[in-house]
Amino acid sequence: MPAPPRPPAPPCPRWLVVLTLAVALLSQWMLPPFMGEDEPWHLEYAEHVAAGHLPSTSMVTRVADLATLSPSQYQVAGRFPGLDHGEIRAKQAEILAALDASDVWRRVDWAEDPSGAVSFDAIHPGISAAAQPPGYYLLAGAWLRLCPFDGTIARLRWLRLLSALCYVAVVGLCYHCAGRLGGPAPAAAVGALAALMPMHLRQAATVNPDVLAKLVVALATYVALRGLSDHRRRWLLIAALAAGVAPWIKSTAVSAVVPAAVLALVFLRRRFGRTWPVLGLALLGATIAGAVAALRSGPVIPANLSRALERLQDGLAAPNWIELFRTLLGAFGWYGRTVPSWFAALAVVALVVALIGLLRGVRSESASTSRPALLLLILVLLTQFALVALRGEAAGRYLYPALPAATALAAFGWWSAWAGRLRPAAAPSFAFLLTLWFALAFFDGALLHERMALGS
Amino acid sequence: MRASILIAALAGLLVAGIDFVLRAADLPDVAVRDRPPILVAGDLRGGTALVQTLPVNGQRLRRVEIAVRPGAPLGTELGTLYVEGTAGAPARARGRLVQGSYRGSAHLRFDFDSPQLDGSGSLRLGLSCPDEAALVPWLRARGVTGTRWDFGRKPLGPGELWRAVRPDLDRLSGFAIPMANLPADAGPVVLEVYAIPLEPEGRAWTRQPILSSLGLEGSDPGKHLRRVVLELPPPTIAGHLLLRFEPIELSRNHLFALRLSLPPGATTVGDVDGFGFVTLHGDPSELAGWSTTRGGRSLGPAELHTWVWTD
Repeated sequence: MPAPPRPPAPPCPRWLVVLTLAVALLSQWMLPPFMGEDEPWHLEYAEHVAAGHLPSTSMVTRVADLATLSPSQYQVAGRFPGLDHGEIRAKQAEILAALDASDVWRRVDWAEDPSGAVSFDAIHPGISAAAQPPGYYLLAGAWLRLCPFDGTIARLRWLRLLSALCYVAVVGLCYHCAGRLGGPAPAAAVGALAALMPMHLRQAATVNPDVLAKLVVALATYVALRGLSDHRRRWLLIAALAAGVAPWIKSTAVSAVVPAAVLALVFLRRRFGRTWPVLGLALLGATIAGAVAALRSGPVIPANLSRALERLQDGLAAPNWIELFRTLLGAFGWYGRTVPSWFAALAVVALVVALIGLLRGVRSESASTSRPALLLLILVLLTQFALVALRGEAAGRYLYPALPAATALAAFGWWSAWAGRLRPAAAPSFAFLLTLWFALAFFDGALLHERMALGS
Repeated sequence: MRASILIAALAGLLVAGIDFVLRAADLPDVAVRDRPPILVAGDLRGGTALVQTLPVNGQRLRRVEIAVRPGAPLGTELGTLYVEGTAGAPARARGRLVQGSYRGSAHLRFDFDSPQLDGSGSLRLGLSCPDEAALVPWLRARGVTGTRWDFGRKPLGPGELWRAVRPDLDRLSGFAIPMANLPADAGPVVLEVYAIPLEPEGRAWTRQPILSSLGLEGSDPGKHLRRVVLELPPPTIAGHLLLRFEPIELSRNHLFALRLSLPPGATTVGDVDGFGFVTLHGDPSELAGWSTTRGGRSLGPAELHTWVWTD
């Protein structure tokens, strides 16, 4: 018997809306220019789109270009085949001058002093955002065209506003996903977790395709939860659209396929009765084929099986997961500095408590009505972990597409862990840890290591 | 319930605030960070020293910490740091392995009895550490560094060495050359820089393979541009020698010849990519520090490597 439709969650409490908007604004000040991860490269890509150059859907490189272009410029030329090489060089020089003016090299341990540099390869050799699919940059380029400012730093700040909008939307989706999930944890706690999580808050002021990737997957997750509840076709349509768009944004967004596919299977079961497994298998096959086809067009996907196995081996190695945890918890100065080690130890303990609580909560009778939604969220989160493993390198932000799932499950687990007479301690302990996390990252991370540029 | 949540949240803010105040109160005056790992220094000889020059603004030297990869338990006494730049004789202190201040790695900590600085605005540190396992080779700098140029896979011997270099940046102002076996009484290292004339077609680089493979001995290297004489500072027996000169404004894509005269017994030392040297660019005063340690592996790219506290 299908679960009864769950009443929609109440609107976000006013304090959560105010808190989210306030910290989103704070983050704009907190993060000095170009201190968001890889911002120079992403800004470069978006600027070329804003200038009216359409990116190619795949890289069209010519070896002969290496004679006149540096490796990073060569990749940009591959993404924009018609773009004049002089324009590529000029744009990099312009952004390098802004990097220099922003004192980035004093704030980032490993960044070179860009004064005198003639290409991005002086910062880090051979790196370019041009390898990314064009989805985010088309939106960012269109947004940049509306920018009333000319200066590079002002335009970067303008583009960061787009990230802030994505951040606010994702916090709202996290809140509403938790509302659909039900369970012991209040949805407002999940919203607060998504809003104050330092590295997610940082994305409110970071120019990076990750901000759109997480929005698309969060949307797919939310509409799938709605669809599981009321079976309206519009949710399936939106989930399918999100899943279709996702591979064009970033490979980490491919997890949007999961909620869409699960929802489609549920609809097939309702519509076709006994034949649904056959149709379900066909759908699954089509989904996998579609995902592989979409992924193969992306340059971040391994070119062959041996390369894929190599990446998987790297991805499953312990250092990769340690790096994932480190950069999820808080890493500043282009991942150079982290939160204090004593807090990392505390976070591990909290994570273990939440995991134990989650296992207990999933099995409890009271969670029976939440179980389909719980299983969907667990599936989305596991898929995101699998994508990180397949990528072969970890960063906390690669998990953010599954943020609604991660935050809702974490809060669900935390509240489930504090059962019986201990339950009243769940909310204060959660509030203590969350504000401690936020404030440590703000003070030690953003202020000490980025704004104050420790020891420079 | 709301009150307890509010109190808990305020407690979280308070703990973070205390942590911040404690850290901010103990910030060093100087911090030298590393470069990207393309310049990881290689396996220097056992018992060799680390040399580093740092600018300082304070009046008295209080403390120095150097990040290391520990080969001994925390608390172990390890190594001796000599410091030139203090009034009178060089200051020296024994090191003690302590937990790192900002990251999980270990530091060698040297506490001084606050000797007066000599007012020169810089300190030269020399670290000798007989324990093979204690230190990590690492090359680090603050300043504008250019391309790394290979000597080849074999160390260069003593005597007069010629090499050609074509920098990728303007304002060439020096070279960092990894050396070993340089006792203080061995005599100076002399570097001379010549401009090699461009071919009429501007294809200067086509001469580079010839210069590299055949050397320039006996040939006319072109116009003499710069000469640097470096008296070796004690207790240097290894490290990157910094040979700085007034910047050559237009150096990008120009071809230069170097003549390096080494004292008897000196050899270059390699890094993970073989034997090479690095071009330095810009104002010589912009270079905040340069040094090597030993051991063959790098610390994480994020690690700060040397801190100095002064009063």
